[in-house]
Amino acid sequence: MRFFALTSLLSLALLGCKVTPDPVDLLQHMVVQTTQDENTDFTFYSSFTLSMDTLGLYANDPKDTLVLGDYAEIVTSKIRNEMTSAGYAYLSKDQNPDLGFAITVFDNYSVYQTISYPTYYSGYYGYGYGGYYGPIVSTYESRSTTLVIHLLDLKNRDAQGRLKVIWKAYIGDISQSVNPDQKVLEAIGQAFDQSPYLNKP
Amino acid sequence: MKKTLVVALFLSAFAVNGQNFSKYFVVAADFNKPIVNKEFINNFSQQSYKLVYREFITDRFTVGGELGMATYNDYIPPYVYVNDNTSIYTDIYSYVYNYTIALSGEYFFTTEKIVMPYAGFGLGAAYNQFTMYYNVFQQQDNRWGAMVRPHAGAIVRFGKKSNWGVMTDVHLDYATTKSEDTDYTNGFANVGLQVGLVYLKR
Repeated sequence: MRFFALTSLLSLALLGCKVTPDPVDLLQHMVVQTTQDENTDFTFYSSFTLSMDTLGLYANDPKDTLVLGDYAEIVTSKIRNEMTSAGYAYLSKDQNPDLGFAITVFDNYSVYQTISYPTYYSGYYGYGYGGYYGPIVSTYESRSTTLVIHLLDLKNRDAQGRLKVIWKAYIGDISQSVNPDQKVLEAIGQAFDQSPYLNKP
Repeated sequence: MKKTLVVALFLSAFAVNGQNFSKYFVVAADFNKPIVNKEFINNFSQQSYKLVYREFITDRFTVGGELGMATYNDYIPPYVYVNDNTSIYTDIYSYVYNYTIALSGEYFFTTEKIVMPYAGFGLGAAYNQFTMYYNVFQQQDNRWGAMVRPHAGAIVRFGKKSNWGVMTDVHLDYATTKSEDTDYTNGFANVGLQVGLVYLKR
């Protein structure tokens, strides 16, 4: 009896000693996920636009809807540079560009949410592209901050006037990773590196 | 009559004079290495322990139970994983948390000497948590399965009259815990060496 009591106590003690990775090591590299629309021929496009220095924001505080300042500037500049390096011309919105970017920060820290990203959006989100809705948010435990980049086809709306998302990039965690301001630029570069189909021939 | 007495004396001279141990307890450190899906983990386990209890049902045979815990981990450097039209770049800290409970029996080749070698077989259940940590994200696949464990080793007592000793044991474990997510499609298997402190009760 004493043996079983002792083993039970020891077992509980051992279970409490769960080995996990060192956070400093774990947060060295951001995760970069990219998805292309399988029916899109990217050679069809030659120009893009981007709201420079402004990012959308989903956060705890519903009053916060935009990220402005230096962070938005370095992120949008990096994306613009990657696109021009890939062979696309940067145009302003009124110059009828082929593609547009919607860039959003999801700051879900201490919020219980998950995000699903439908292929089409049928509303207006605030980037000046009529026909673009934000992602759908539902309940789930998440404590991450993610940068979401959507590339929209501005030339070909569907019958309902909706814009199609032809490329997506999710990058995280952009707040808890080591040296996040530098790492997010590397991660954006990685998103384009692992999407060679974006490069113009 | 005389002949019978001689035979009896002859047999008694070679008869086993048992130590009359009734049971023993072991607290052991366990050094394990996976032998399947080495792309996911190919390191020795950390923080691996085993608690063993056995009762002698004869001079040579024991039965009992044991509890085990082992943590396996490895590091997979950054890589781009492509699945259809989606690509994911990340490094992965791969872990398997392994918990076992087993009933086991052993046959001791001798119990009279300081060195008491044995061979045995265990049968029980394994609970594996196949875990991938990447940045702030975590993916875990928890699986129960049946487990078999052939093993062999020896108890080495500290002296002829001592009830204390050390145990060394080599074992092969196979559990039916399969995880498609982490590519353990045929279950989990490992070899191990355990070294522990033994208390033998008479």
